[in-house]
Amino acid sequence: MSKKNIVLKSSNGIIFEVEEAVALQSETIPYMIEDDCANDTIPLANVTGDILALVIEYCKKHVVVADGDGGGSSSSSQEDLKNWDAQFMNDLDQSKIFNLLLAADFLNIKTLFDLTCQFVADTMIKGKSVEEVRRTLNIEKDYTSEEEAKARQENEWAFK
Amino acid sequence: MAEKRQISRMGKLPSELHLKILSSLPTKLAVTTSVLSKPWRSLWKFMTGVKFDFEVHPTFPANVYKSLLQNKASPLESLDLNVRGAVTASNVSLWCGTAFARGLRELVLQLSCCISLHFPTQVALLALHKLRLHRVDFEDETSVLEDVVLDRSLNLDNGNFPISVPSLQRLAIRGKYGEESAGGYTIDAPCLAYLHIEDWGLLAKFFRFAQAPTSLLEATITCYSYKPIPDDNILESLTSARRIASLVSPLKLKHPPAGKFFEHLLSLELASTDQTEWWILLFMMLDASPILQILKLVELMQVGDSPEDQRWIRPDHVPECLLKHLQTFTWSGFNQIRDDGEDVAGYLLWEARVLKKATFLTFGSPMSYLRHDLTSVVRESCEIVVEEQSV
Repeated sequence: MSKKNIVLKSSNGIIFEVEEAVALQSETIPYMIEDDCANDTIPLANVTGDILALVIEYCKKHVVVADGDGGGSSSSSQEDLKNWDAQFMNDLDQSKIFNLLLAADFLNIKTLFDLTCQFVADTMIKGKSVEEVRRTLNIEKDYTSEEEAKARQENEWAFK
Repeated sequence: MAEKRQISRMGKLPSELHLKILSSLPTKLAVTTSVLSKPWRSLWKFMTGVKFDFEVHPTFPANVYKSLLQNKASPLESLDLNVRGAVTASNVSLWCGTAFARGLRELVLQLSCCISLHFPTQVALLALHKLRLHRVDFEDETSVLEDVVLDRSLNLDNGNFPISVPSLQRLAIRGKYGEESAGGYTIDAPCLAYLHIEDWGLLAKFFRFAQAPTSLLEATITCYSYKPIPDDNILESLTSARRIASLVSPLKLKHPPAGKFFEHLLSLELASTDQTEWWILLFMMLDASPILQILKLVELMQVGDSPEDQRWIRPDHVPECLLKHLQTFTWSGFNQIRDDGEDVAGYLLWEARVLKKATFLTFGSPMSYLRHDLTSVVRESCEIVVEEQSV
């Protein structure tokens, strides 16, 4: 049986042709195929070409191939995938991480979304001071000093 | 400038994405984000998961409880507690009970000591779908629980671990490598569909079923102890299975029952290091599985006693599955230990009338394992492959 391909088009008009199994890791794409059956190309208005390339790179690595016995197995071992994921995220700058997070959310690719959230939590919140977190996530301090002290007092136990 | 713009965009993520990011953190750390700004003050209370690692601190139990009470997520998806220090059963019951009352769907509990949890039926596990327990006894009769994973740690007390969940569909039991405890499990789960047992312990465990599951789809049993599983009824309890894989398992039937009782079995994988009764088990299973389509034999390196001199004897009748249904036959590690493998292989190849593909995998060059040309005994309609096994 020949493998079916799916054509994806980024917001800036870049075309990607991928195997169906790769694209279907997104839970959004199946709906788009149904909605847009007249046209073979699926337009992704929220995802730029460079980010879509990253998403496809991730999905190709994580595609699960049927083993013929009715079960499924990944093409790589869990350990390999974990290492690959870590490297994949480490190579990205903050802008790409931000856009990847939005793309994974929009395309509804759960494992990529979880991976990106975890990476942001680990690198931008964990082990950082309040000021550092505010700076990294661009959170405006709208507390007065008294209000901030009160918020801290409310959950004093968590700061110990 | 560009960098500044990117950073500012990170801050403008929708708050539900901030919440998801927050949910990747342990609860205690997430709570500290309440001092960032007013919008963040209560964000942590909407996290769908509560996660705590044990700390030696007098207020630790109160902190866990307080966090659960303040949580406003609807429903609370998961509770993940790694409490390897000294906590009391009443504390754990209180935490879990509070979470169950919030419609908890997934519970992960890791304890350093064995305790029994008893929940009042009012907060029965009505919504819980997934449970992962480390060293906890569990019994519940009113739940809709479908998925249980048991990871047993070292130094399990010798004894009986009961699992009694009428709604259970998936059960995985994993014994740790090198574990020296004996004992075993009594399983009462009539709706079980998937059973996965993997025991790397040194001593054999028993797996006793209170009643045989009636609609089992798949059973995978891997036991690495060198001794047979004592006093169990496991094989008899798998009769409804569609697919059985038994790796390195010293499965034995004490009283080989007569008749075709694995009437749904389509796929069977059998491996053994205990050679003495392998052929007996194999032909008994073939006889008992009238519609079997896929058979895989895995011959493994001898680890226990050397094989007893029990040669294969040609059965007095041909099992029905060979005559009518067997289509795929694989033999991995062929002739590694025994030298009468070719007699068995020759018999199976000839008698399997509708066989489509036979594969023989050898460790090392096939030439050194094959005395005869198996292609001469195979029917024309069957493809035969003999090759070196990739490691």
